[in-house]
Amino acid sequence: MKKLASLFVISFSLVACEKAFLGADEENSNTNVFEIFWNDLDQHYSLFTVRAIDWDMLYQTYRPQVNDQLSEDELWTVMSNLMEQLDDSHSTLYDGNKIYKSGYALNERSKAEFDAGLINAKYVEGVTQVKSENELYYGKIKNKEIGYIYLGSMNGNNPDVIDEVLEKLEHYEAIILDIRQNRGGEDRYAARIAQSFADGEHLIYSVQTRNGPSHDDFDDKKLYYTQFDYANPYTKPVIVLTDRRTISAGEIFLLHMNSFSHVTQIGDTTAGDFSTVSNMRFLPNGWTYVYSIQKFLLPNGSSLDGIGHVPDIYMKNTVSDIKSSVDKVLEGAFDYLTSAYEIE
Amino acid sequence: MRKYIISFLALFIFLKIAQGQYLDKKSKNQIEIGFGHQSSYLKDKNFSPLNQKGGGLATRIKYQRISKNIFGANLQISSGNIYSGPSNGFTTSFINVNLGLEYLFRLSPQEQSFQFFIGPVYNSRVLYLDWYDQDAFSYVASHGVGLKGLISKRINDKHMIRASLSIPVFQSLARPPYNGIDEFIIENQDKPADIIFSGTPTSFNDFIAFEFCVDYTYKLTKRIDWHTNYTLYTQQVMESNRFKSLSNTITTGVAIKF
Repeated sequence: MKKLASLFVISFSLVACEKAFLGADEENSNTNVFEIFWNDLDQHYSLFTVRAIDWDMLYQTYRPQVNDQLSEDELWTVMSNLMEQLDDSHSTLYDGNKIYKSGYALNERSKAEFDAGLINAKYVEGVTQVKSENELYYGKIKNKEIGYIYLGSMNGNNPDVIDEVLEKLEHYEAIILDIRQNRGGEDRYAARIAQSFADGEHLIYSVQTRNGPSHDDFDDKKLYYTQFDYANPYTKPVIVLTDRRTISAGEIFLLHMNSFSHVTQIGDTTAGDFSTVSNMRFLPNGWTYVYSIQKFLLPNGSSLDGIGHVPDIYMKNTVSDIKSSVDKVLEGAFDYLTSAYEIE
Repeated sequence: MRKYIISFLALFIFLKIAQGQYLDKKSKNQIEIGFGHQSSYLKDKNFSPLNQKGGGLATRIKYQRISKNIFGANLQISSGNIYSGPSNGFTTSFINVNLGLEYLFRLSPQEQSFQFFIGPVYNSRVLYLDWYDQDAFSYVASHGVGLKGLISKRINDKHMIRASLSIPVFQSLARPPYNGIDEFIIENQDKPADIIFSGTPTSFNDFIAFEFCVDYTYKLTKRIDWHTNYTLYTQQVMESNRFKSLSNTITTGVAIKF
């Protein structure tokens, strides 16, 4: 029995090796938190070149502002100021309570330039919510032969339901597809919704994921095409309404839609944030953050990151428009359908 | 708590079945079932720069056929939480699955109390980490062959002890890409098997691991043994997103011989 006991003692003593095996944990100091954060983005963030950001120069600017005596709020200010330089609202810092989204001021402001309640009360009748999806409802524009669809997210359980929605609206002369305030979601969901409007198969963009320490290390291009359903595309005029808060998979959706000849984009320029977001990253002080890890390029090699989709017809609501119960963008879509297609 | 109750109920049912299967001939086969606890320590730079530690419930099922040589198959599943950050504020769930097959050749005369075995093993191991429903995730999946050596000592009629060491030699190793996510992961997010079996061939150059086990057996009846097993498993992946883990698993249970 002594031998047995000794073997178990030896085995259990190996438990104590854990610290030596893993090495010391990261120090929870302001300077180390900053260094981990800066280095992680330096090694993994994908848009330094596309957005013309000199990350080394930003280190020279912000690193001297950090020392271990800073309060938590002071460190938060320095790091959020650094993150703001990315002007990329896919790059976000969390402290457990507060959230800082880089380049998000215009997106935030646009919330007051849209009122779904106003649309449903004044402009649309027979509003029907599609319960399986996160924010999908449809109806008919009052006193006009125009269908209306609102899509506020690219997440949901059943994107195929868009075909049922289009069946209900197909007898109208046109559809206004409102993706203002669309907060994104899954690219595959966006592609499936767009498929129901496709007029053909078009090369629309490529995706590359950063895969090395150099700012220009990327894997091979993956090409994306619109998905064309020969059986049942909706090819009557479609007006897509956008605003500054149309973002991410909402913008991927626009890459599909804008390649179709019967689609017109009206509204404000979109956010200009296309990339898939990284896994959540962790810091020793309990903060977390995410950032962009990919670059999306148009077939001609240019990027809309930091630019967004510039609409065919630019217009935006002001806060006072909304307060006066006027959705100028929606009314602009009516005017366009009348002037371009004689649809009333 | 529910997991523990289910585990004890399963053990009880297993014992009842075992009691009903008394056979007169000398038994060569045995099925063992055990439950216990796994302590895990890891650092996965793909996932986080922070050290992670925690643990969870471990379940083990093992079949062995012992004649001149030993053939064995085992499945061990552990799941629980690991913690990191200030006051262990980051909680990450993990699941660890190990499916193994072994064929060990006896190197010593069968009548000796000390027995030596050595032979090939196949293991398919997957460790998956998930923070808040895939807001962050990582994995290590290794599938391949290795070598195992086993020593057993029969202390007396009732007590026996075994110790073994196994080392993977040629593996297919699957790890997340450099940035944790890429188009392959996104496209196959609904097909996790495609991801965990999309490994690249590797050996000691960038994957080192070993498993050390000690198993104590107490003969309860002619057909039923009580087992207590301790397993130390460590693995290291040498890549830019370096991975290290160390786990200690203690299980106890019974084996029915037939």
